[in-house]
Amino acid sequence: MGIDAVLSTLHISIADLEGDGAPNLAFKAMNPTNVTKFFNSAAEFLTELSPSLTSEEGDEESASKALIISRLILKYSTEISSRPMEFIRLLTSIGTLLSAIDVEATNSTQLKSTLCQILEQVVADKDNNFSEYYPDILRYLLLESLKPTAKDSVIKRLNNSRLGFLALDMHHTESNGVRNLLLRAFANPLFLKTSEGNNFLVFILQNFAGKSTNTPMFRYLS
Amino acid sequence: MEPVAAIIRNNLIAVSSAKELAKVYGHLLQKSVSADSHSPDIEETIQNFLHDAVYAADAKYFAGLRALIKSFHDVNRSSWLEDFLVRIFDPIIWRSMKCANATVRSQASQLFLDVFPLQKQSSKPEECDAIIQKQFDQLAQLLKDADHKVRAIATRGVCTILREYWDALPISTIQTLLKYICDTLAVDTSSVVVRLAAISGIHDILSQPLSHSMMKNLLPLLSQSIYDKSDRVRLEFIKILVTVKGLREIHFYDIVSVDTLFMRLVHERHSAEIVGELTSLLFNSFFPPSEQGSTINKEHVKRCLNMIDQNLSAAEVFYSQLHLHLPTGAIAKFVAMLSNVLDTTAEALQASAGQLGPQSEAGPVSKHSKRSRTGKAIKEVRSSSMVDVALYIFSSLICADQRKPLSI
Repeated sequence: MGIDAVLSTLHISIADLEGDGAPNLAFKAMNPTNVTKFFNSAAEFLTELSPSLTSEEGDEESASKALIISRLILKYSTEISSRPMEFIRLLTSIGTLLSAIDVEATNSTQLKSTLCQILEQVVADKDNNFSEYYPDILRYLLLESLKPTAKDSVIKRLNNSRLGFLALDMHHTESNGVRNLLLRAFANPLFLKTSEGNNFLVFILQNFAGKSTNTPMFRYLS
Repeated sequence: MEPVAAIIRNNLIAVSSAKELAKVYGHLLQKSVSADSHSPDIEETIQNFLHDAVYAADAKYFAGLRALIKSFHDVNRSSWLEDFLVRIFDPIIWRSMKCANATVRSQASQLFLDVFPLQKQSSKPEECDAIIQKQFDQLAQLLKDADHKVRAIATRGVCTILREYWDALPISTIQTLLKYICDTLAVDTSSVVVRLAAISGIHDILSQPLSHSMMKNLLPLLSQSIYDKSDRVRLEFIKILVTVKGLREIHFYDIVSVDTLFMRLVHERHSAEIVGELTSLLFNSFFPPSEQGSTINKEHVKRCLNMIDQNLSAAEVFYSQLHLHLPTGAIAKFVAMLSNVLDTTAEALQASAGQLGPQSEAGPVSKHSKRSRTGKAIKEVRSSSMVDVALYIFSSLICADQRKPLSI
């Protein structure tokens, strides 16, 4: 399925989406009758693009197309709090894609950020099964915040999602990566410099490095 | 917690600005411990940091850990935090201050002086008193330590404590500590650092208004510090006098006589900083602020002549610093007034010479003419001194532009 087919469900073309006001324009085109079709075709579109997006070379053109669609989804999720079931199903593809993309090209980076923002919005609204999306969000935000080029805004997003760490099963060997990233945060200048970073580290210390030795994560931090 | 603690340790050792980083870590740890989320593991980690600080071999690492630990007691202490600090410090600090190694003792005493007072809010009043008394005894012991570094640290710390907690400490304890500092440590011939710590500590205490009545009796004990062989000690002592000048209860001339200050002015003429402080000290005495609003008046000239009479060399040094305290216009006016006095004196001299000439040739010298000759001699000396002083003021004005020291 091509991007034109996805956009045709909203009766718009890719030419309509050029310029800064594109997501607003597309959002106006969304209505209860066409939005379910749009989400179904978007899920199909992203699944089809997944192999090219996650390949080692990274297909920048595919990433660009996926970015257009994901921005429309983000706009919808920020504006509308009661979402159809098709949207919830779409989130599974978004989560998978977010954890799978490992390319550092411009469009791919922007795509990952947008996909994560969609999940963050769902979590912020405490939508159905929102805790399922925490592992993807936290892994992505932790990795981004520890990059040398990271900005304060990423730390802020991570701090806003910090409660997600309480939902993680830290016994599981899959959490080893997150635990190591958390430890690295204690030596990261951006975390030490910003108030958001400080609050995040205090939260980690309070919840995982103390209170009682029975706290699951304590065993890993200590 | 141990991996986090290891990261903090490694960072404090590796980073050049360890103190700043330590403050951040201290702030994080301090925020993560609170009464409602009591964490024995973090408590143990902080105690380990305290232990590391006491036994640190590297001064930079010690400074970092000290800053980290300070974050816990620089905040408003709740009763929970007070108990927490006692639990952290109690097992380590007392025995460390009695350790054979002087570095360990000095580091332990710095940490103890930072955290003072350790109070157990949850215990009985008798226990609280015992803990406080133990600390007073420890302060006194630290002042008598065999190592000069420990004595200097203790002196500075005790003075800070006295300044901060003057109204909360028993008067007998304050008297004992201050008497020892003024009587013994301020004249500790074995170490300049100790003497300097004592003098600057006393200076620090003067910022506590409640201390003034007691300091009035103790400050004269320090008067010999003006002759100290160390420049830094002398300078710090003169700074005390400058501070005292601004206090109502104490007069600086009760501590050191004005004649002594004049003599020091002459001796210190090559030390710009000390001369600067001495001039500041004496400035208002010779340039009292006038009520009429004019910057310079006859009173200033009169006091200048008095100073010339008392100590010419001191006057030369004092007036050579005038450009640092007065605007150029005011100095010009002052010099003009001095030259007026010179003119008047010269005319008077000429007139008296005209009167005396024929008489002295005519016959024996009368009592009146004898007195006139003496007066003439005094006037001659004084006018030549005035010329000197005027020249110094002129030359200092010229030097002021180039900020060069005046070569006399």
